[in-house]
Amino acid sequence: MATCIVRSGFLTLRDCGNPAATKCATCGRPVCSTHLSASSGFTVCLECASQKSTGEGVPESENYDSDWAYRYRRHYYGRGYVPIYMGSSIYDDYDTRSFDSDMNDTALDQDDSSAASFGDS
Amino acid sequence: MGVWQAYRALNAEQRRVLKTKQLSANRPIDGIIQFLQPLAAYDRVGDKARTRFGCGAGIGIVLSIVAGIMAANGALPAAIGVALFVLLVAVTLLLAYAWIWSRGVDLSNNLRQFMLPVLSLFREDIDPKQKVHLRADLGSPTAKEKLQKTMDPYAHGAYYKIVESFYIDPWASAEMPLADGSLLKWSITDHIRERKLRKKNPRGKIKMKTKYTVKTSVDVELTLRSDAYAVTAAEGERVKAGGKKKAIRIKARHKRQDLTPLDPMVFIDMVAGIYRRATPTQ
Repeated sequence: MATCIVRSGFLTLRDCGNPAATKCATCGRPVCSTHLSASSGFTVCLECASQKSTGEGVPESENYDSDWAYRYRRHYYGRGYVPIYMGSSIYDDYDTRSFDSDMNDTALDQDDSSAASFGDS
Repeated sequence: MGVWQAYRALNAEQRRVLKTKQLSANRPIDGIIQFLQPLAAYDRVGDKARTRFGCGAGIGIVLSIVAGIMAANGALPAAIGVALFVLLVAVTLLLAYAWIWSRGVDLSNNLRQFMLPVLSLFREDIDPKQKVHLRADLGSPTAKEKLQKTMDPYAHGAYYKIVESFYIDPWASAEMPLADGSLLKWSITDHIRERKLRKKNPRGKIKMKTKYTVKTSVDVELTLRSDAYAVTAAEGERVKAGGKKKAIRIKARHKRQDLTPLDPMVFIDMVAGIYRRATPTQ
């Protein structure tokens, strides 16, 4: 059975991993019932729904539901916060710090140690 | 939703919080949010309704006086005039009672403008199986029991009488076990200066106003698992390193010129600031 691929969390992200209930009508990825957007009529995942929200400012809400939380999360990440991703699935636009732990400065130095050739840009 | 419907939707425990303004919860995060949401919904409609009750009572007083004068002067037939006067007085008393009642069960806006947003945002970061300890004082920040001292009146410039009062309101603290094995502890205390100012305008009329300055102290302690994160401490930051855990404690002060709740982003920035410096070791 497919599992939900929505990255849950705010400070740190992890794979939801719950059994998927349906596929997101926008991205086609499997999504569980808790990560479907109520504002879309439960057809779109919260991540896709948050992308559709407009406006530059902090999202406003009266009931602070999951739709609002994911909109706020997107807004907050847009201010420069890069969350730590603790899941195992493929890279997405939130996931950049997972590369940091693999990044080895000496490997970069070794790359730079050779003289640049005309093939280098 | 009307105010009465919102009030009736509350259970006995939620009504007790409305009455005492004291919240002490020790339950999983989803349970806390489910508990707070109806309270916030009530408080939102309650604030609007209180304004309507107050305005209605004020208009009712004016109309009652007018009806009374008209009945006394014979501008209206006696029976109609008296009936109208009695009706308006009754409606005014009812609205005044509703206004007083709704003031008594009003919660601090910190609930719906700070606490509920923060809990909703961190909901998926919090371990759903463990209990969150949350304590909050949702009463007025300038309640009598929070008064520390009142200074002697003094004059300054156009103001012939200025009275300053100082309040301390340690209104929230919490312990949240996070899903990554970390523990987030935080507390918030408001230090409030209230200034009641009086002056006479050029026509000799006395004008009064009240001004507030609020300094909010936010304490955040995040205990990270040493086997999960390496942390670089920022300048002036306290890092307590134990065997298996590292506790990072930061404090911040935020000043504003009114009693509006602290922006949740100030708090989120503090916690996120610690995570920014954390590097996963696995």
